[in-house]
Amino acid sequence: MKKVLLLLILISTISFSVSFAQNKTASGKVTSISDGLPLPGVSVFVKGSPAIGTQTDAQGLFRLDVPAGATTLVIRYIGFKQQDVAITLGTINIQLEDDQTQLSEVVVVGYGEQKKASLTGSTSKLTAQVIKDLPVAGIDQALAGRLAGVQINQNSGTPGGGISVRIRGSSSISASNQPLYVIDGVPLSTGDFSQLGYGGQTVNALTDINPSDIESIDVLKDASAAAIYGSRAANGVVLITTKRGASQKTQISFNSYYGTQEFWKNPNFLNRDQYLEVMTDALINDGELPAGSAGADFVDYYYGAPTGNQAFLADESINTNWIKEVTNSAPIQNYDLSLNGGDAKTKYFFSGTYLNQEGVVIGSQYQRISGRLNLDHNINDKLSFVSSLQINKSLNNRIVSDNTLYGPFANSLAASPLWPVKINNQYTRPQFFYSSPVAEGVENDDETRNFRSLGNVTGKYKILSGWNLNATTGFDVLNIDERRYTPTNYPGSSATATNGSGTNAYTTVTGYLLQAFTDYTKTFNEKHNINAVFGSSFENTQNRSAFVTGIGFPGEKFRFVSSAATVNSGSNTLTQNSLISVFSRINYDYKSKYLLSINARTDGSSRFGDNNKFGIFPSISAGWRMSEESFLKDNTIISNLKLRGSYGIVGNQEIGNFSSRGLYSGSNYYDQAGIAPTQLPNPDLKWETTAQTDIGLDIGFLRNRVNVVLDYYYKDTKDLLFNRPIPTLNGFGIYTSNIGRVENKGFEVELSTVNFDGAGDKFKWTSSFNIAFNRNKVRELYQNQDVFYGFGGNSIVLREGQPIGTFYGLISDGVFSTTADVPAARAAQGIKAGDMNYRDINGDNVITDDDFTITGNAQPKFIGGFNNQFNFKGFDLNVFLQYSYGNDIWNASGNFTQGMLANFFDDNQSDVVLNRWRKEGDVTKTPRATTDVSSNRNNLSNSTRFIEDGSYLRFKNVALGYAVPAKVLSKAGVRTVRVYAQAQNLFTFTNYSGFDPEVNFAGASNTTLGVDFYTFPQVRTITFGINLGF
Amino acid sequence: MRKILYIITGAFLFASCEKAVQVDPVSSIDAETAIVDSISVDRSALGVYSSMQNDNYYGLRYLLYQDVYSDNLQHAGSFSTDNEVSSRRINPSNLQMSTTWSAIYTVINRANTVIEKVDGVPMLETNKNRYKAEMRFLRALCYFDLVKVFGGVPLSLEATTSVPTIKNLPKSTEAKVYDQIIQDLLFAETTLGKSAVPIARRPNRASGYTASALLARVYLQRGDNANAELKANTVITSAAYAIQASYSTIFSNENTTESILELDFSINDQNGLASASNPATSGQKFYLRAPFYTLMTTAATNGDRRAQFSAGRNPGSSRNRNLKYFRLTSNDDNVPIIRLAEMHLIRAEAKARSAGSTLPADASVIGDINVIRSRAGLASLVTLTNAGALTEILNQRRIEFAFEGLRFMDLKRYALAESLFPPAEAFRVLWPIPLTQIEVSSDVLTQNPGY
Repeated sequence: MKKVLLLLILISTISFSVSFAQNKTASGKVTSISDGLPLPGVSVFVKGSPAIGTQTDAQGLFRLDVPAGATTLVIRYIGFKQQDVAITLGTINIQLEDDQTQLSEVVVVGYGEQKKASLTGSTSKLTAQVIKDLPVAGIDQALAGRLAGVQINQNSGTPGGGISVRIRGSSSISASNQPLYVIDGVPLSTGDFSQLGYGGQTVNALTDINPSDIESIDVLKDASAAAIYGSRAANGVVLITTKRGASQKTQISFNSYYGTQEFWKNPNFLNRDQYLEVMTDALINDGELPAGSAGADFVDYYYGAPTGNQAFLADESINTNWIKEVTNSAPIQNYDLSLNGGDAKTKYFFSGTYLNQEGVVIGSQYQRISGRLNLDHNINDKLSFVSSLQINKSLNNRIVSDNTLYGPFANSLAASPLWPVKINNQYTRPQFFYSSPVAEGVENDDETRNFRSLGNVTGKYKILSGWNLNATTGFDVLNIDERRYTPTNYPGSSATATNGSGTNAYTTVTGYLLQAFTDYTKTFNEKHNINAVFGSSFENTQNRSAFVTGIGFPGEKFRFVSSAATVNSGSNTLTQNSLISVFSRINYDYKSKYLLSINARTDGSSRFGDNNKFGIFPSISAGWRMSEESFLKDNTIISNLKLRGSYGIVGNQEIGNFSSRGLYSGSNYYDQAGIAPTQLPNPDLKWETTAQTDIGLDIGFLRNRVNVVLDYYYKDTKDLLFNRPIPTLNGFGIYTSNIGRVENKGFEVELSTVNFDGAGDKFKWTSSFNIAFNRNKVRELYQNQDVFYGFGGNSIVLREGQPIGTFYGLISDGVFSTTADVPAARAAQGIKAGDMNYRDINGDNVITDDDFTITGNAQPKFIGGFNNQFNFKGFDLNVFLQYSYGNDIWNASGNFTQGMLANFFDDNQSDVVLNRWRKEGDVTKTPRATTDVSSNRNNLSNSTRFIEDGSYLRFKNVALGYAVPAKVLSKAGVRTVRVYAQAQNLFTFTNYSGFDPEVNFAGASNTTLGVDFYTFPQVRTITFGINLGF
Repeated sequence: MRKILYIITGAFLFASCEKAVQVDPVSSIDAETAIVDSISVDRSALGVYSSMQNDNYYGLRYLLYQDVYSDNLQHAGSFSTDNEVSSRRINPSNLQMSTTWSAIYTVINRANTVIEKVDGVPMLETNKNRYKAEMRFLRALCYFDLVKVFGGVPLSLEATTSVPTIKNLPKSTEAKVYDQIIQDLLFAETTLGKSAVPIARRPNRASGYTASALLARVYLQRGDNANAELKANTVITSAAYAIQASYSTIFSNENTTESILELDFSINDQNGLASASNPATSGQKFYLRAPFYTLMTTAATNGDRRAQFSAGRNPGSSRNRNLKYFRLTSNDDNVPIIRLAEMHLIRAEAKARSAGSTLPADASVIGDINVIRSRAGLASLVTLTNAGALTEILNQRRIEFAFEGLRFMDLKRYALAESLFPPAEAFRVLWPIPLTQIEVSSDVLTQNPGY
């Protein structure tokens, strides 16, 4: 408070001093140092007072009235280095030097860094500036929409939940499609190591990394850039660089935000009266109730007389909104303190963070405390050390979600409004097959505690100038302690039969890396630039796990296995894999004009068959900086032009650790140990390989005020690690083999522009836009055979010529409006007016499984983002839009949420059913209410009735901030103060009728995409924050 | 220093390349080293029984579907796969068909694997043959379970142990499948000898008499009444088994002397049968169809003691549940596969079928029926025609073996199965061959008619 007062006083003093000062005039001319030509439109302003400024005219001349006390002018122009000049009498001649920062920008590549100008591969970079202040738990969330060709699908609103990241499409069917994450040179264990089932949504070990510790993220997209990671690079590589210290006086930064999260869209489900009307209608249609029956008749028919302990069924005041009962406005808060400093010898970066994100659905919460110390030390001119250490702890209170009978959110959609939450202080069971949504959220314990330590030390020895040796050892230890307790104090609990059930599971995932490489940089004859890297590494990842389950608990106050009457289940196991590698890269350029890069890596993996343990992954790329040629060198419009191309082969080894082996496992009978064959051997099993071609063009216009990056790529993945289906009469359904082929081809555009560049603190607007068109296609499967999967086993298909994520089922041509509309052959089967009119694909006049066909697909036609940064005075406004176009969503829960008592399911219904067919002549897409499910197939889930366009445009982030001017602060001993308000998912434009178009019930699945099944939707988050620097 | 470290590291890395990437699993063992001695042979035999416990086979669905697809049980729940079975309109794409098919063939392949592997193990020839006999019994049981619902199916008689041994077979005719079943059972019967004592754990494993008993069932189903009577008689007259005085002890005590073969479950090896009939838990349920429940309650009123142990309701519930599988906490209800009561009814039925339907039934027919009736607490019958005996046998079987997996087979044998379906859909007496299997076979496998 004292400080604030001081600030206020300072501010008022300054304004006084300004207004009372006497003015003088500064004038001059600005020219370019390279060609001596005058520069128009250059910003000229008084240092420390950006408001006092002007621009040069067409002749490069300026004239500015400045306060008497002013001593220095700042000259700023895009594409040139900023210059400070002293205010002198007479004409000040200023020569501006070309700024090549855009081109001298350094890009992190595997085992080193490279100037952007000399890069021949396709990479995208994101800096700390872009992702700061975003209220996200994981860095993958922060990447969403930011980079061309990087598709991030959040899948659900689960705090700490797993996220799908696809770089240039999905190339694999059975192996992983997630990219390789490398943090400060050490590959990171990512994925879901949970031993307990939570329905659809997974967790992701990536959320252990604190986003505010990150300096930059570089995504290697093409084979040239990624090939140095060989057998794991097929899905792209994400290189994360954490913040490091600088030789400076210690700077302290404190950042914090606090906010709330809510559903951005409220699900519309029926209230009591609407619900009873629909249910009654179904029974009337089926002749179970006479025409004219009322809701009370339905209750009587379905539940029996509303007397005794179910007297409440007749109580018309009960109208429970179950969704409201399980959701609330949830706070999110984050505190982040960091210290950054050092001297010439030792530099450090230290940070501590606390994040607490409560879930909108009761019972879910994610908390993380993390600390990081990055320490750099030069022992002498030759030897230096770089070390990084992170320790963090998280507590994730999870809920069961999606495809489940025990999820608070899923059950809240199914629960009938006729039931109160409690009767006589006892939970009710508001739908026959599902338990109380509230109890599932409140009464269970589902805790996951992660403890993770992650670190590495690199020693760097300078042999000669330009020749270094680097040795790294890195480790990543993740301990997961999961505890689940399910009591029996509510009806329908999954532990009803066992009188309470408790499980404790421990998992330790340990990864370590030993790596050494040498790098050499030399210029010959001032023309030939060479950079070479050669090294080797060894990695091992172990997963040790154990669990114990107890049943029979004395009461819900006893929640640990120690109180269980019977310890009935337990296990302990270990699985591991190793990778040994040799890698090399040679970059050569001639006068920085003609560029060439060759990469190669050899990997040996324990996961593969005896005959194919080792594989080689080469790549070659070349670039031509046309703007360096004489014919473009002096071009005033095109300031940078580079053509580049690459070709390379990368691999994917993300399958089970022992998929190539013929295995016998335990298979017991009458409590005696038995064994049985469980897996067929395939000694020929090898890597999945992706050959990728990339052609790119980098163009800079108007001194790089406009930058365009264009890339065309073609990814051809073959020898897919594929669980090849075999006739199950063999006693096995599959064996892991290399079969099939998937292609991804596409076009990416990144456009970044400086739209307005006002002098000083005047209005500035920069924007970056990206769009990516990816076409995914399954080119080859085993013997052209379709692979069917999804709900019912045949609702999603992998078929040659179609993309991954193709929906399969019946095409709905609406509902038969009148009895006369029903074709005779179908009427004979009992189909009536108001029933679904499915398309008869095979022309046999009736609807059978043979009429199943392709009904849509989850692959978008294009995706991207559009970021706008506005600055004016001390204000900054960031507006970031994310979009996806042309993807379908299958609302697979539709046969329940729009079932209308089908199969006598008394689930509550989406308000879509209010538009159902009711009488002859009604034209609608929703059929009549009926309990019948066998003759009419009205309720078939996999039909186009439930497939919708999932395109969306979303204001993913909007942030408005105000920074207190530095001049004011410096006197108060404060370096920076910025306050801001931020909104995530502020607006979403979509035609999807479900809750959220970024959805997938199957979490980060490879092949099940865009399926909504009672999925916990994303939320709108509004936060207020402060950034303080001392 | 650094340089030296680097060189050492590098040397270490390259020297140990092959070894570094050789990592072994701890929860499984390599196939080549799995079956090497008499102990591992016995363990692999247990592995075959273990696969019969699968939820898609005797552990739940295949077993109950015999009653669901007929007129005893119906499904209540959200799975369309179960619902199609319950409404007797199974689509070829029904995934449950595919998983059940696969579960049964898994048992067959495991049995085939033991039959082949046992030859390479140092053991007495007689012991090798006993294991082969036991495995061939299990294989026969599986094929019988397949043929009675799917009709002719592919006959896989060799083990699949590697990629080159993967087979893609067409359907064999129903007759050929039956021939193979009988051949396997006769081998098992001869090799295991006239004994109720299996290699271990009576009645959880198959003995010589188990083979005789299954032969009786198979012969009867195939219409070979003389042999059915003969085999049933062998088992009954062996006196190795005894009808329990109280019907309920078969289920409450388990592993009684009435059991000829009973699949054992334990708390460490559970099934979903108790949960599938108990409305107190969530999930897919199989309740009694209303007419069958009425039949049961009527039977109870008429003094049939079996009814109250087989069907009932939880307090306050309106669901007609099956009570034979009731161990909700431990989920370890055993599944009786063959018991002596069935032998009496097979002997009676075979004999009644061999004689003129209007003629009075033989005293032994009535005697066998009365064995079942009197244990149930019903009055003994005195005279019956053969036709009347057959009707009585079917009625007794429906109650006696409710939820034990015999109902659909019985309706077929009595030519009543067709009447379960609308006239145009009589083809549904055979289940559809799973669509996924037709596809994966590249149409080597063909669909059953009508689908």
